[in-house]
Amino acid sequence: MKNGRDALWAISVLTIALISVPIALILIYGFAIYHDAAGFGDTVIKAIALTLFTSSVSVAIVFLVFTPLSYELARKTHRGLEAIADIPASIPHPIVGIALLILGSPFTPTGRFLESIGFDFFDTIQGMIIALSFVSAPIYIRSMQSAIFSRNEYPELLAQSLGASRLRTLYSVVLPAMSRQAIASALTSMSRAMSEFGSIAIIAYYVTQYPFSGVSAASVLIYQYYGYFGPGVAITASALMILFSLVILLTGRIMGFGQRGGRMENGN
Amino acid sequence: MAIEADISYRIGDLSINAAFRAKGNAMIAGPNGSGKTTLLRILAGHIDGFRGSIILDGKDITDLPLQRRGVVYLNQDTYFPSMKVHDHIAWPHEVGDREEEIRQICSDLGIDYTGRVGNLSVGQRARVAVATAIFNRPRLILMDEVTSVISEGPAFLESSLDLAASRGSQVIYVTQNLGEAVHASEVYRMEHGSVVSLVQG
Repeated sequence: MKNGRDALWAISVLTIALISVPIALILIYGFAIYHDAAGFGDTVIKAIALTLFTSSVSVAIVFLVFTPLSYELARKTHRGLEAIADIPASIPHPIVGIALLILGSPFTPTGRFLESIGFDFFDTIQGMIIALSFVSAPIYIRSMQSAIFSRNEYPELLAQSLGASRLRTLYSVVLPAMSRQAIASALTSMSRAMSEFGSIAIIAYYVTQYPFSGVSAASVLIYQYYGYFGPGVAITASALMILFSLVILLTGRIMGFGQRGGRMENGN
Repeated sequence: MAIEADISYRIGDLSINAAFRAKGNAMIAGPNGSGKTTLLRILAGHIDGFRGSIILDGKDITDLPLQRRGVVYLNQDTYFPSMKVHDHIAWPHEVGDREEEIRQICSDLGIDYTGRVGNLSVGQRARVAVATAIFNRPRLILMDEVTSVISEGPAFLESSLDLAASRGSQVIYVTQNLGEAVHASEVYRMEHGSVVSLVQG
């Protein structure tokens, strides 16, 4: 059947427009109308660099730490675990920041332990990375869980019947066969991390470590600019941040990492 | 080489009531929807929640995990798409001094190609899957209509059964091709979830 321009197509275009019009307006106003020099300044570039760096590290951590959980949830029913895995996505993100603040506070046993091993959350790059990992993990877990669940289970059963553990099956059979979906899930998770504001505004409003000493994440900086300068500079900085985000996401799509639409393909 | 099973299982409208004992290679025939695949998957350990027991070579494997069961189930989807042919056959073991063994199995099963298994034809994949199972020497190999996608299926089946037997593996195969019954020491027929007859043995 050929793809026709029917009612479903029209609704899809309309809904995409609902999403893209505000973004397009920011890009147009940010680059063509306001384009305030402060919006393109060194501070903004550093903030975007910090955001990209911490988001990249956090998605790497999420991939390493949460892929086994995604596999477990895809193949076994664990309603309790699923509910817990969704918590970071279902609570206001300032609460995540406060939770991490308590976790790392020297007034709590966990904080004293972390301090004893030289791990400090507050206003540090590692604190920001932990916060971003925490809030973006549910996106990755759900995306990977869905991708694994939709795959044919027979190769995994064969692997285990040949003697492989479930963990070895995951890393030797499942992931190599779905690397594109895994990268797509990671990119989605990274997008979520790049857009985070609530938790890092509390745990790391700015960081105090080289090479980002005194730098805030882009979302925090844009909020600051909005308060100090009004919408003009904030819109320009926002446009720059959106441009970087789009370049990363589109690069992933163009390289074929995005999940394909269209007709259902063989699970293998 | 002997399997003894007494299984009772219900899924949807299908009730599996199978009691049989097979000493050598066995064939199971029967119409679509009669429960052949479900029965094999229960034997393989893919399905829980049935009543009864499965005894393989005198050992109760009913509740054993897949890794310790010694049973490998094969159908047209049991292959590792990202692995190359040689690695697939050897996986998950170190080949060590068993290279000649792999070469011999490939030769006997008509595997003269390389490359990623996911890029092969359906029939080529099925041959690699059977070679993988045989190389790993499980006690029981369950082949669910595997030969239906292989050109020269009956000849391939005969080679597979000979290879498996020489390496101590019993084979139960499901097929719609009754001509393949000549390779089985026992032939069963399933209807409506029940093993209703021992046609030969």
